[in-house]
Amino acid sequence: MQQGLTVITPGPLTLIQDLGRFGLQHQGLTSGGAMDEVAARWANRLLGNDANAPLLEITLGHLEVVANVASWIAITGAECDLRINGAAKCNWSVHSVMPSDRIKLGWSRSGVRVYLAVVGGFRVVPELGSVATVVREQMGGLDGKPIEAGMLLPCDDSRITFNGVPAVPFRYRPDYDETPLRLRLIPGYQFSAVEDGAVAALLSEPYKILPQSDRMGYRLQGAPVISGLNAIHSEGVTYGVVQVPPDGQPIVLMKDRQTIGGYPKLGSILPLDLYQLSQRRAGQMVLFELISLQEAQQLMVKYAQFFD
Amino acid sequence: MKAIDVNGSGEQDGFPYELRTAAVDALIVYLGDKPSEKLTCQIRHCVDQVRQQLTEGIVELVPAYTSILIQYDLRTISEVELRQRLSLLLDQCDMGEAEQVPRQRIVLPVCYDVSLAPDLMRLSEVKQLSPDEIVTIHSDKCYQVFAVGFSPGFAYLGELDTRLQVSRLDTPRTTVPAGSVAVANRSTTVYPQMTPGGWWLIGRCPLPMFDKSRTPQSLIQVGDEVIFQPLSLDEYKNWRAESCSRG
Repeated sequence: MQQGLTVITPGPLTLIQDLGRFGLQHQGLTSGGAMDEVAARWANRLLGNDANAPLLEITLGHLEVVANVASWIAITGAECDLRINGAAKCNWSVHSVMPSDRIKLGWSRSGVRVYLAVVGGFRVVPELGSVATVVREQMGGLDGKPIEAGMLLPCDDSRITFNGVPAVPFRYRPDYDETPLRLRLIPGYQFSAVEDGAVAALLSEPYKILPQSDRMGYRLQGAPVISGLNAIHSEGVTYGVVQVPPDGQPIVLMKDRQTIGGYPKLGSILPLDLYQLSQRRAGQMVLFELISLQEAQQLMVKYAQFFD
Repeated sequence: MKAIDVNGSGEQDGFPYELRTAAVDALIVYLGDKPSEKLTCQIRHCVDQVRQQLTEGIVELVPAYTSILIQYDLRTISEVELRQRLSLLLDQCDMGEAEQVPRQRIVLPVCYDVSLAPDLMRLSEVKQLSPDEIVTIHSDKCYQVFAVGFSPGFAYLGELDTRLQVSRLDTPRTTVPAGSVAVANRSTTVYPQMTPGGWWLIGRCPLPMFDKSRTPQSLIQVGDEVIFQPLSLDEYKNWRAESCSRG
């Protein structure tokens, strides 16, 4: 029998992810990858895994799996009731798992996405350099699909003595209910070409996250941002781009975004804020601020150094 | 081109271009305002030059109608440094060469039979052209590949003859069959996968437009030329049978 975790209840959307698929955007392939990179990196780091090791992104929780291996798991991200054989366990921590143990997650209470990593990562063959599941493209993961009941998620039997950090220090644990979430915008693309009032409108008041938000993009509702520009020639789209369609309601494009697009764009959000945005639900508020490119680059370099 | 204060532009002895920030780790180079065959050749040439000469720290190079998006690895190179290197490279780019570079010409067989072309009759009514005339106009042109994207292998081919230009369907289809040959606005395309879509479907191509087991994965690349070759329904079925037997 193959070793791993057998899925009893898959949850509404559970995907195998890593940090994404790169170098193929010109072929029309999006990057995909863990929506909340911070929580994903912590899960792998707690276990001493490679930062890019395949793990589960469990949207809204409600997952149940049974192990047929002995290993260690790390759970990070959204808060939900976590039980192993009925005993309550903590989030942001490492837990021992033995054969026939049942791991059960309740619905998430705060945040959206839970990350579950195992020692060595799930044994999934990368597709074009990554295991990131992009359902729309049928790429990565297990047959390019979300996990389903009855699937086996392959991983090693790892009866090692655990040497990692047992839990994420409290000071590093984010609060996903903090509101409004600030989204720091790096001015770019057509920022200087839009009408004067457009940027002022964007910065004027908080926007509400709409229910149509998903791994492709977060749709926001608030003061209309009228760019004064007609549709532009489709151009390459980056992670976190803020595009403003004719109705003026901004859309922030996320990990599964389309690769090119023709709406006017005001620049892109600092990725650190996008990881936080990935843990926000419909109805929660965000507030745009500007950040200089230089400051944004310094923050991202610091972030890279922290996790390297 | 509209002058942009916060960003640099270059236009010494060469051609005009403009570098703008796109994201914390991405720049976008604009090489012109209006899509054209010439501009596409220049974009293709610049992409090749960047690919050959800036080997370190480049993550993505995404050419489109008038621009090239360049995503880089911040741990390797900063924007200031990349701007300098790019400006040097672009200032030295010989655009005279751009149009000399041999281009790939791809022939796509298309069956325009109404059984595979659900919008052909409607387009014929709207445009006051017979279906045969539509086929002749559509297949009598060499198209430029202006952009690849939206979905894997989806190519924007232009420019469509004005007689066939039509705005997108009011209600997009929830599923368009893979291989559907379609027109909308100034473009034509072949849908690589079964996806939702709002373009008018006027035929079917039996070739896989995107194949993840091949390199490059997309059958056509920005800067290629594409010709459509009409097929009868029987010929189409033979093509399909052949490509299925090849796996």
